[in-house]
Amino acid sequence: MIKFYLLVKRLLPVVFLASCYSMALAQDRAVTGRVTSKDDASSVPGVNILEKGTSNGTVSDADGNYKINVGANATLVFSFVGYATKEVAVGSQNKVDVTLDSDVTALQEVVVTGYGSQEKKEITGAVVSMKQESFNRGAIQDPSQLLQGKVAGVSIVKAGSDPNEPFTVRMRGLTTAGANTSPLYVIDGVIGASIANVDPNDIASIDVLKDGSAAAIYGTQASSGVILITTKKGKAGKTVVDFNSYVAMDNIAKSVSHMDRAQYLGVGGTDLGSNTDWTKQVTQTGVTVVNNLGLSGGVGNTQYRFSVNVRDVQGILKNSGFDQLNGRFSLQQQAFNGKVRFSLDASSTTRNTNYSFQEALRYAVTYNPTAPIYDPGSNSPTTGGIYYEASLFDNFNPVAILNQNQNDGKKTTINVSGKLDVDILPGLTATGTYAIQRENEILGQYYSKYAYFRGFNRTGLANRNTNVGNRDVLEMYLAYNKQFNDLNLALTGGYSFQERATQGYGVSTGNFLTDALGYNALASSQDLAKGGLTTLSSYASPNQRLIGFFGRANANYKETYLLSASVRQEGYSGFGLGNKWGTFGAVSGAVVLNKLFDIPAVSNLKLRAGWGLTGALPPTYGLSQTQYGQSTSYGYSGGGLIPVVNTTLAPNPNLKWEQKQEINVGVDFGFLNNRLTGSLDVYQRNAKDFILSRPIDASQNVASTQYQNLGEIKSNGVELAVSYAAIQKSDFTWTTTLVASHVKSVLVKLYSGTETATGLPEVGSALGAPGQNSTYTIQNIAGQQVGTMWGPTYQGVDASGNPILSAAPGIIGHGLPTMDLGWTNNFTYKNFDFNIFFRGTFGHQLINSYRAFYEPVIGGQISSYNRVNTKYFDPNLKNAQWSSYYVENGDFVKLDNAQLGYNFRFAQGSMVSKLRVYVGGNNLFVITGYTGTDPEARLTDSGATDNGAVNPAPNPLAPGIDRRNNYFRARTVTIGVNLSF
Amino acid sequence: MKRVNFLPTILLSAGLVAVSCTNLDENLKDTLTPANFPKSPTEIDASLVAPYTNLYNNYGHNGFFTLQEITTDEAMIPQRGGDWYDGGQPQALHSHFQTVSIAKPEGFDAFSGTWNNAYAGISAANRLIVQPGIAENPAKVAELKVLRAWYYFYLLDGFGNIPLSTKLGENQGQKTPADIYAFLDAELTTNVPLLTKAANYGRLTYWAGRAIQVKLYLNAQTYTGTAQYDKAIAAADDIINNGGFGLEPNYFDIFSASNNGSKEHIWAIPFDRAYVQGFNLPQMTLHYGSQATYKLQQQPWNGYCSLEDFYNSYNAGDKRKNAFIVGQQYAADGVTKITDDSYEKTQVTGDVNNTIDPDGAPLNFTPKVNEFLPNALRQSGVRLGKFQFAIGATPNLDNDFPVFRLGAIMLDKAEAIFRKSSNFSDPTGLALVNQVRARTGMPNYASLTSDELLAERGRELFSEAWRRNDLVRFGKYLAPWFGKPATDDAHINLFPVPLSQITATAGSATALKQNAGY
Repeated sequence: MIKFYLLVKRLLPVVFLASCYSMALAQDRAVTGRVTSKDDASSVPGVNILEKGTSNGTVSDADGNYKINVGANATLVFSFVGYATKEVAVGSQNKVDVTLDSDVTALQEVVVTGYGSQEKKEITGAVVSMKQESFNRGAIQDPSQLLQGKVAGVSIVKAGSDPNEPFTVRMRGLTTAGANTSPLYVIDGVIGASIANVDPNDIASIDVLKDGSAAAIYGTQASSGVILITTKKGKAGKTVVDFNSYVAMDNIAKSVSHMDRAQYLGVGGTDLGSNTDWTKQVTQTGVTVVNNLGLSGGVGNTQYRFSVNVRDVQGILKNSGFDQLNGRFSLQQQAFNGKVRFSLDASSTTRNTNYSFQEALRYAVTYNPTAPIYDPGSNSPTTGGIYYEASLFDNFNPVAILNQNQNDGKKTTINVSGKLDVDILPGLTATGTYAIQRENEILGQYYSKYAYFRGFNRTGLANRNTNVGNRDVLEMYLAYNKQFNDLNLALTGGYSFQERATQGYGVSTGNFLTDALGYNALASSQDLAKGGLTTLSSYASPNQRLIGFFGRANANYKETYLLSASVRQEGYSGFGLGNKWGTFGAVSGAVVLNKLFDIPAVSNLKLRAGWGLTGALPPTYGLSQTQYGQSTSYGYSGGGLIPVVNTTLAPNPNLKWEQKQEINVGVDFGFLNNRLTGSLDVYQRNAKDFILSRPIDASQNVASTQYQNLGEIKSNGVELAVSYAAIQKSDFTWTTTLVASHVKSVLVKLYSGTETATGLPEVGSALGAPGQNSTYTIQNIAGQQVGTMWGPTYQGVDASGNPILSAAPGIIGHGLPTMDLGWTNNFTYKNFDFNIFFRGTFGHQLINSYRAFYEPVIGGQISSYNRVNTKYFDPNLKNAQWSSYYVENGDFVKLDNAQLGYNFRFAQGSMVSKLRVYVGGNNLFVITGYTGTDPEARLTDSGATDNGAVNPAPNPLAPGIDRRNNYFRARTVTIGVNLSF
Repeated sequence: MKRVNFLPTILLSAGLVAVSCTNLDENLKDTLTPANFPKSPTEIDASLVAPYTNLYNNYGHNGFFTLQEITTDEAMIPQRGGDWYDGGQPQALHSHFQTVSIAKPEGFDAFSGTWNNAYAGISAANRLIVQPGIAENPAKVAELKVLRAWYYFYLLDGFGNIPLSTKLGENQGQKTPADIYAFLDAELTTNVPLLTKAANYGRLTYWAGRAIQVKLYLNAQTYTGTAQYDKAIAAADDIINNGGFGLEPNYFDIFSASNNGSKEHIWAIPFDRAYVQGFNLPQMTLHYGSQATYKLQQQPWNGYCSLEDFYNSYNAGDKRKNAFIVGQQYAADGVTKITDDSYEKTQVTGDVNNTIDPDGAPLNFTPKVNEFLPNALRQSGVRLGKFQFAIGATPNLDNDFPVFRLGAIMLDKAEAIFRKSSNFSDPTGLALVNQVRARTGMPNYASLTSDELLAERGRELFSEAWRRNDLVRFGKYLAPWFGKPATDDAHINLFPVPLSQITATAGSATALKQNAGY
């Protein structure tokens, strides 16, 4: 902050001098120009243009052109509803073209708040609104990337650069130890819709409801915050065609450091006679091509927008990537003098994914660097095909894995929603929304009969799985708005019905005559004839219903005193009989101080305070009911096989809603005519009764664990966002924005709160095989941060190569970060624009699993597994045992993205209205002391993987473990074009 | 323009929705519930067998089998460099906690796994005993009670002080071994006679119930301080004289991949590669390269092996010595030698001989294990091969696992006779031992000692999950063996109560107390 202040101080005189200079050159004459919108480069008709300090003015015509005679030293003021007012010093120019921003001046922003919107000046909660100009740039494949680092308190994290892995999104740290740690998405008003079905190119704005008072209108799904996405819509006027295209190239920025042939032989490795760079063999330059075409316009009472997005994405691991086709259509129709408004949104995404095998990266690190790729004596009876394979645990030829096997899938998501608004009486509007979502996925894996990795002796193995998901949402509400003298009152009340269901099945079968048909010929499996190795599975969820009644009242007195209150009563089918319904709500208020007092240089100063109570859903359905499952096991009766039905779930009929209370106090400020704007928020959250599995008395229950409402987590946080329009000249602008957040989540208690550290059961944090099963690294200890790393302290190595460890284990790290920083700078100079964004995360430690397994020179391993080689490598250490030696600081600062663009100018009437070309990069450099591939926090844990097995349910209680299945980090370079006509 | 009044329509539809759409019933579709199951006699049968399925989990890693085997002088999991350290737990179980482990013994996975699995079986039985369709059938209730008694038996044997529950949702509190013994004595006396005497594959019969009684009474001295050898002999006699079982002339037929229905089996877990899965010994014991020997469908894990002293306790002519997989290993063709390029050839400690594989690449299982930890050579140690590994085996063997078999019951009876008469050469007992020994190619015993009987039981019952029980009864559980120094901490004779269960019950009326000494 101090640095930032100094920067401002230094630059202010420069700006001042520059404006004096322009004044000196002014003279009396006619000025012409054209006003366009910065959003889409379309012309803006009807703009008020006023010579500052005079009554001399004009209005732009239908094409946005204007002409005005001005005096000496004139400054023109451009203003129009929905756009930020802009002042331009005319200087010596005869032609002043102006682009108007639809945001910048925070006071006029409209913020989507759920079941309606408010002007930003009326907002009483911790809400952040982002327009597309402020989004992240470059190779963006996932909508959440647009916000990464831009919103104080929102962590958007992915370690490594796997194009097929989604981002983990957390708002204000870890609120719950239960299932719902991700925020709720609301897309064009549709609650819970799939973010995967929104192409980043189609997003106009994103609103983030951070605190409980803002989010409580969404009740039970809102505990981890709400993200509202508004897609681009058509505007009345001429048809606009937008075309955006880029090519991006991914290269390895950081792999796991391991030894080369000479180094490996130097520490005692076995020489198998070759020199193979396994990492090079399994990686590539990932070339990604993205094309987006948008067509929008409107006639009379009808507006439309249609877009097509095509993505062909390659990762740095060979074979990995996806190609995706997304289409979106939106239509707005007004009738009865605008009293009835209808809108339809439809979108579809089909993604073909090649998951490839991350195991190839894992084994590229550990495979013997002197091993050949191919086995000279091919068709070895001990290891299968033509590739060289060692007979070892968790050690397979990485090239063979990629070349012999197949791992892919196809997913189609369709969303359709309709919305009807009817103005019934003056101020009273009724709204109805109906939305559907259909998801359809099919996955396939095939392991060759010659593949030592899983296929060998299985004579080929095929796995197929399908998953189908349905989601239906019906919502109806009334909104009433009335002005009573100085008091404005807005009331909203309604009903919400959500229903979702999933189903699917899977087949795993092997023993094929030939590999030729892969997983497409399940009937060819000889398992059926030879008996018994085929496995089948299927599931079908109940219709999971979430039904809510909600209401909200907003009062606004003289735009000075603001009050908001909301309530939502919600019921969920998955809770116990007497506990299905819960009531949630919020109260918040604000006072606009600059309306009460005239404070010099202060253009906006608003104090806010709010309280909110929200809930969260259980991780799965059926937890309150006695279940006997499916008859998947067998026993004998009368000498013959019979299916067996058992129960392994201890039902909890008392299961009820988790509760999170939050108090938020904030201030929004604007100085110097809102050139310097920002907000500061302080909050405390208290979540209790989260739904978590805990051990129970095995002797009197059908299982030794049960889902219960447990524990308490308290989080304290501070968030700051400051934006300064440092330079605002017609040919040179610079805006700089800093966001910073601090949060610390402390586990008040998990069970009774009296457990000792070692009395708690493990939370699935074991390092895994080989040799480190049952080696738990994370404990959740009352009074400590969630996700405390627990183990002995490393004190050196003894003469025989064993680590010297502290006698007693203790706290040796924390997995969750305590601070996030983001610093954005946007520059425009004449036709150039440049943006650069730095992002940092601090306060977290990482467990470097690769080092923990493969850095010590272990007797049994050194002759066969390559060694990880970081600055911590110690040739004297010969035994791998979990300790603080493998815990490293994860603090980092990244040059997350930078982009340089050039905007071509076109004569009026030209067919092309906008042409911008740019070059940029993502992940350009990272400053960190961490020796693994990526210092990003691991917010959840995917579990130990044995021979590449995958744990599908990430564990939020074991953060900070950098597992061996992580994809390497890539650096991306992008070249692109934006074209409008 | 005509004024359109939407209000009544909207209010009306909103009202309708509010009435009809607040239904939150949860109708589960992919799982059976009390609402739809069981409905027919076949379905009742399907639930009756449920408590048996927990037994299937007893023969994988970190379950009952692990606790009976690697805590003894016949099997171990050495630390093989980077493999199988696993928090030090497998080695600490073998050294009875004399080697370093990250967790305290009460936190070991094998203890909680075994405990929780047994009580899941007990709870399933408790649930079914009162289920309509079963409750009114005395034979079915008796079978469930005897099955429950088997779970309680091995919990008693392992953990000693255990909670007793005979009704789902109720816990009578933690009982002493003597209390549990008394409960089991009464329970078996009442219910075993109600079981069928006819063969019933995979299920408990009268004869299996009698076999549980043999074990309970043979070990009564350990559990209560009072011997019950007459009762043990009577129960064993009943089986031997009236059960219709016979000794297999070929010892290995008892353990083959097609051993189901063996006339020596009194009760076996009816494992099957497809239907009754869980017996994964090839994964646990074989070397990675052994995949080629047996054309295994998955790569093994190279863990469990036997001890050199135990291997050498077999005479060269003893046919049972083929229970070990030893020496050079070949591919399935029997000709191609399996080699392991990755054998240890780097000196990592001062002792050259200790950390370099002496014969290099050929995959050769040696009786000698160079060291218990940390650098046991990957090819060292003879492997547990008494159960046949069929060519093309999956991780789930087809071999049935005999819990009780005639040969073992005959040895039990002999021991009861010896102990009752305090004479380990008692002719009646000796005759029984020799009868069992006749098929091994070894001469008859003319006399026996306590130590020799223990050794002979080891050779006969190797890999059958009885060794720990035998060692405790013979007072040899604390004796030294490879990887374990001698100790005199008698509390080690009982396992610790699992920490997760102490945590789970903390603060309740039935809070569990840790066994003395832990």
